[in-house]
Amino acid sequence: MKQAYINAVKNSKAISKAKKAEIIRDLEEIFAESLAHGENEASLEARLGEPEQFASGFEGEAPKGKKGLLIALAAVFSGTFLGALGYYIVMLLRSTFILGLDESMAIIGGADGPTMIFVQGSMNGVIWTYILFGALVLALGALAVFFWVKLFRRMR
Amino acid sequence: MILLCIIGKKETYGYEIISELNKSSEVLGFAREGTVYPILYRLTEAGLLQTRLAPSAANGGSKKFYSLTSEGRLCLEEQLCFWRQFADCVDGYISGYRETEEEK
Repeated sequence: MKQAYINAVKNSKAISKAKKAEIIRDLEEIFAESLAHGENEASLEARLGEPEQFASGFEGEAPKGKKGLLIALAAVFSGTFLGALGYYIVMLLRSTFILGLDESMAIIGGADGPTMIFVQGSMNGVIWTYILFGALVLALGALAVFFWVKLFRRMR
Repeated sequence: MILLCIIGKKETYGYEIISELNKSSEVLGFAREGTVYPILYRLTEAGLLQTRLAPSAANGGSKKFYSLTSEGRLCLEEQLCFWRQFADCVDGYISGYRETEEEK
């Protein structure tokens, strides 16, 4: 059935959205012309092949060169994100701000005094450092996820 | 190259191109939309072909007509030149072989 075939190609993931409209238009023309020249639908569909097969013939029009870049970006952002996240967690665990002076001393292992603890300026300053760094970690994570998703979509 | 020749002869459309190719199906095998259309797309993207849409009598939709661009025509001439050299070269070897055969 013509409409079933065309819909199957429309739903195919093999073709990029940009090309799809053009290909569907061409497909409509192919069916119309074939009919006008007295060919029957079955023989046309046999010649076209399975919708997915037909669609996949157009694949590879997308610039494959970008894939390497995407992998690199995804890897870079993931790495930076994980590194920053790790550092952030360690920083939080060691901070006096979160745990309080006495508790953190106990956790660090009975350190003898303020020598183990570094205060980076005023309390307000410390809060902002954590907030900003936290935001940076989140941003890196978001970027990493973004590029992984893009990469995953291209590979379909 | 064959596609460019067909389109170079006169402005034509998809179905006509495939029918034309299938006239030689005994030698070239059967031409299918699935193989020809991607090639037409690549040739168009490369600037060798141009297209125009015209209203179609067949389905009330549109019909896409392909023609050669000037770049396409140039490229075709180059390909024809190479083909001529290639064919002459092969013919040379063939006649060399044929001559020895006739001597026997």
